[in-house]
Amino acid sequence: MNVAIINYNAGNTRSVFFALERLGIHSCITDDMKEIRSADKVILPGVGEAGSAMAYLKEKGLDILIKDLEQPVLGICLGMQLMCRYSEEGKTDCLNIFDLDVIKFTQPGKVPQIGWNTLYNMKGPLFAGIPEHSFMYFVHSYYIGISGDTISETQYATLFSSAFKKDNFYGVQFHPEKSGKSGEQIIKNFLTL
Amino acid sequence: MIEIIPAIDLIGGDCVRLVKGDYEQKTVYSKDPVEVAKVFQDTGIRRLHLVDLDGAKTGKIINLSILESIASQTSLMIDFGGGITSDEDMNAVYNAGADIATIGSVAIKEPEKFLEWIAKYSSARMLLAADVKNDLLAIAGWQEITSRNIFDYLQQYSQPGLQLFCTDIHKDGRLAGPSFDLYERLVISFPEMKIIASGGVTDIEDIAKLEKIGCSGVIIGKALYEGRITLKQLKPYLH
Repeated sequence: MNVAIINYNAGNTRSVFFALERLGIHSCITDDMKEIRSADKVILPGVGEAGSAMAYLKEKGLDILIKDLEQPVLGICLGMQLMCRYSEEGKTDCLNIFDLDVIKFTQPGKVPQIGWNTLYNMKGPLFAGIPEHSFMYFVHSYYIGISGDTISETQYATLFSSAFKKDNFYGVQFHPEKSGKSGEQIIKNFLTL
Repeated sequence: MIEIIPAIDLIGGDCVRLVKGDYEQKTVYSKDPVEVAKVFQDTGIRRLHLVDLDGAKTGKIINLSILESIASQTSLMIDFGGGITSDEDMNAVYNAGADIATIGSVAIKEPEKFLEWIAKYSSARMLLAADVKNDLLAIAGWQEITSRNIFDYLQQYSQPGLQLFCTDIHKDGRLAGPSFDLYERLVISFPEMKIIASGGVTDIEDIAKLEKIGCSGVIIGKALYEGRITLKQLKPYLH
């Protein structure tokens, strides 16, 4: 299988790479259009700040390419947020795959949320074999509210989308690559979509 | 729930502990930090505080390959610090697999650069480190105590969204209990910041007390290596 992890030059893209290696799958970290387009699965990893990440994607022409992808695409953490319409982080126009806004957490609840939290109302094949109320590891200061595309919900200061899906696009706010066995299962599920 | 963050301090690739930051008073706990990290992971620990003490001393990252080994062989959330001074260092650390960069001296000496990094990498990917003695900031591997008060210093970084890890030098590696008073004052003064306690944690009761005060996390070193806190005791805090 051919997995492309999109490089956007602002932080650690290797966590996902390492997680795939541990599953015995070799992936490439790339910003090359051809490589991304020809991959079986594409992952938009979860690092950095929205403004600088979008600027990089635009510079490489990847903002348009990503929206056109037809294979399964998984956005993790910031990667999920970039799939939205707009982010309050850096007042950034994002990819607009999901017609949703990314909002900063306000009190109560200290930001960033770092640590374990619970998933509720999980839906669909991404969560196959994952028991209800499973814990996943989160690191984020911004969130996306609940919508028709939501496929799992989590509570921190407010109820937010811990995962969403539309067509071939999936987003998870938590880090499956940092969430032990359950997280690993989610990555495996994505790879078998 | 308070997050349990074990520390691995590195000198020459070994997992060590110092007493009060003194490089002369070094105990080597393991020659294989990757194995130590794996043991943590197996017990349900999710986060690791990795410190390049060689880097902190020389101002240049030295133990990057250990970071890379741990990042590739475990799924721990790793914050890495010690010797990060430039943009190149930031790239190197993230590329080696660190999830969070721990920044101490740069935030004190070059606040503009630190704010730039926050803007580029996001505040969630930063851990602000401050070492203090009697509320005064210490720099240069604790060799130098400045006249700068930690509470004044933090004003500039008190915008929501930063984690602060504060070590009381006087307590570190002494197993004499943490500075509850300092952490309580920090939590009250900076309600929007996540305060992570470090230094002096001796037993499991200390952790319960820090949680009650409102600390978001606790870094544990020597107490864990010397068995005063067992991984089994930490179970209620893990998933």
